Amino acid sequence: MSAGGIAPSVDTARDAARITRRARRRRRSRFMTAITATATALALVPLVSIVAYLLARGGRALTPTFFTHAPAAAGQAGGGIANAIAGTLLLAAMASALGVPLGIGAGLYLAERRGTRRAATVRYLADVLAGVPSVVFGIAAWQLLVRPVGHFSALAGGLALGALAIPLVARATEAVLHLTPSSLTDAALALGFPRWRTALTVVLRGALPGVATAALIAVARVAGETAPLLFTAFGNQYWSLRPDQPIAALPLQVFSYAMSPDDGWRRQAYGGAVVLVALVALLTLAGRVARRRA
Amino acid sequence: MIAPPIAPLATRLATRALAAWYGTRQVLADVSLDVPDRRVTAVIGPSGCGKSTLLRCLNRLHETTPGARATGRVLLDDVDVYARDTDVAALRRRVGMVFQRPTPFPTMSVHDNVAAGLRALGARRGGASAESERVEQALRRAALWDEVKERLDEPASHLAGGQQQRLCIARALAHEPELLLLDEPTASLDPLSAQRVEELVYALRDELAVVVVTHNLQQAARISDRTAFLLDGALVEVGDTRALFTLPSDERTEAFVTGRFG
Repeated sequence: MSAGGIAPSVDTARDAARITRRARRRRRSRFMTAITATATALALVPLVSIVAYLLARGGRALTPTFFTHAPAAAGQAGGGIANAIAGTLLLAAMASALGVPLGIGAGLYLAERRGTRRAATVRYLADVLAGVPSVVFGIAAWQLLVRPVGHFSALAGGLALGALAIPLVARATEAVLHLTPSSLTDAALALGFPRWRTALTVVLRGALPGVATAALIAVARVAGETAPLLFTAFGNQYWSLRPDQPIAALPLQVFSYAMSPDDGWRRQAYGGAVVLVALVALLTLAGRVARRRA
Repeated sequence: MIAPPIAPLATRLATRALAAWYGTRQVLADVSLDVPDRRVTAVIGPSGCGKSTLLRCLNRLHETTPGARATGRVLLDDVDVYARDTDVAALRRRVGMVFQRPTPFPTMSVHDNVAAGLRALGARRGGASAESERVEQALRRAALWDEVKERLDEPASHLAGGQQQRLCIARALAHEPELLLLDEPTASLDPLSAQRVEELVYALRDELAVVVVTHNLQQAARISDRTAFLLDGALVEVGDTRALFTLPSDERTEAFVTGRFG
């Protein structure tokens, strides 16, 4: 078996090469996996340490009174941030009322008119708007809504946050709407549906869970903003839910307490930060649940 | 199911020098095709030859694709659907269309899917009971009623694939179109479901004009009365189905129907 004698040895050599290649590939794969795992762990370090730090410093502030009472007078022990929690919820509601419908509308426009020059312009502007520092929204709201009336107001703060949410909701909505198969749009148009009816009853209706997720996450993101509220909602040491008056908000409360020399207030600042993080986490979680239902 | 010889029939739809583009790419050129009433016309040809585009030009769905345009004339009952004053929504209600993959609206029930086209007409004419009646009628015509009459309120996405496709046919039939366009209606179905759809199409020929695009030559031979062979965006040959398959007059047609390419 002269031919047969050579063939196995060639095969063996080839097999050996293959095995080395495979081993090298496996080594490289393990190495890369390790790198990404390390990167993930490093990325989680700030989140975990922030939450741990906040809990360590502010955990003791989280008493029942903390959630049910407005701040105590300066120098007095006790008091809480109930007014700031309520204020942030009201501001978030106002921001949603402005940002969600406008954002969804803009996202629908972007998705429906994709490929047109005007849509490209709107998309570019939305991206610019999303990148504008949030303090600029505060200045704009101050100029337009605070200065003319002569005093700070919850409404000005809510609208500043809402404006901040518009581009976030718009771009996320557009992304979700792109997932609607074009065959469904075709089917609706072929039935004699006008464009607007197709967009509302087929495209938007089908993507509603995803759009809800986008809206919730955007609102969660703006609810934690401080800068736009500094010269609009301004903050308030007392209970107020009046839209035309300054209103307390968690980020503002944290900001002013953290700056104070009072140990009790500083502790409450950390407590407030814990509540703020929890609130944002809850809203984001609600958004994820909405998506999972889809 | 051999098609009977064709008696002279009224022409339901005719295209004249129809041409279509996606951007600068021309996909149809000079297509002049007559579609007789109450007959099934099959459009065959290799992938990418413009079959679907031709179909999409007939109800002006082609132009909804960004950058797409068409020239020439499409005459439905001798009226040019590309005339400037055409009400496109009204046109599309006179022409039903069913696609390759079933496209029931996933957020709507079985009943609402069939009623969707009726509702697009605006007010529900005759109220809810009249609507239900028309839904039942459409489902019966699509040979689906017996399978779904207990499930009308279920989401349409719960139906099996073949049922979903017949649901789409029912939806297209609900506002009683004069012309039904089927774009490879069985391509995504299992053989049994495909057969049911074929039988359905064969039965519908007594009621309206049907144009069916198919890449399945046997299917074209089984269900159509007339066949048009499209190649590279041009109409090569059109004629009586049996004649076209047995005695094609163009050698390219012969090559295609005998399976030498495509």
